Amino acid sequence: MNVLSGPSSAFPDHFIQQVANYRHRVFIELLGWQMPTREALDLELDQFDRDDTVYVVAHDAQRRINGCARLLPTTRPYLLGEVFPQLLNGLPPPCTPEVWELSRFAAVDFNGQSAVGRGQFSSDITLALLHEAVACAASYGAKRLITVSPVGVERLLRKTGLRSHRAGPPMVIDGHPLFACWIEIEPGEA
Amino acid sequence: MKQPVLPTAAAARAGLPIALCSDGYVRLRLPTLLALPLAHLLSDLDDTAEGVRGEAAVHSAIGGYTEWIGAGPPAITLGWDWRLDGREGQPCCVRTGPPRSNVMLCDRHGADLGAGLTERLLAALVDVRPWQDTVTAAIAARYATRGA
Repeated sequence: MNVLSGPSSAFPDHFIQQVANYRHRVFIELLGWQMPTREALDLELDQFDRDDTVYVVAHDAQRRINGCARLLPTTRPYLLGEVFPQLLNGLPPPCTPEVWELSRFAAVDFNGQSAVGRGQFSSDITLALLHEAVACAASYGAKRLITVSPVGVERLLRKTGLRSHRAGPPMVIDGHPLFACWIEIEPGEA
Repeated sequence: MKQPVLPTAAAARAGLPIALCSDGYVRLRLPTLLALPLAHLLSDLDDTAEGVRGEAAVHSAIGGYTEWIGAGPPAITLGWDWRLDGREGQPCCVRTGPPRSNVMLCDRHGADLGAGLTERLLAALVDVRPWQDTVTAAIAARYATRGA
């Protein structure tokens, strides 16, 4: 598995479009999430895909994307703070350079080179990609990650060895049980 | 990082030592947790359950997850996985894996017991509470409705 990471501005436009197309295949077509899309182009992008958005993207030897993650500083608008603050159990959304948000995490290999199940976390690249995302966030100064996820993500986090815990109770939103989760970044992760 | 921002006014009035902290943990002592009613929030079957594969056969397993909540503020959340077990002659749900939560149990001095011990105590709490019938009823209702 090869991983590229960096801010949107560091990548050519066509690469970000490939990421958006991959996200469309995962989240819209495979998982059936109802999100605004640029349907004519089969791109899944939202207001948090900005020039300063940091992407972590896995690809195979043929440079076909098989995993992605999105990192946002909580000092600027981010998904949890803007859209899902009710998942924080009454706490205000974090706003500090030491907390980054992890979102749009997926590891699905549409090219059949690794095991594929029915979910968004089904391949053998999942754990490696998650650790890469954590290391990338740490390189930007993050000490903790916050994420909005389906409840099934906790099983994945258990397998990684990362320390995580819920930020509050799950809520059913658009038919999906979602929750907010804290992930601690150990000093050696960067 | 333990930076209590509560107890909430309601908790303080009730004399309940329950504190929602800025790291997202709800900190409390075990006796307080034991006295806290837990309400069923939702349960569902796994959509990614895989059979237990043997040499010449596949044994299908039925399992899922369940979510419970202790009314707040601050709200306690507890969720765990379960599977249907029929080895005792009667099908019943058994917990698989440790509970997932936002709870950090503390000692009488307010010091954290730690994630590991908290997890083990929460598991023991789940195992002595009668949750199985509620889960099976919720699953039955959910899928009966879908099939209607």
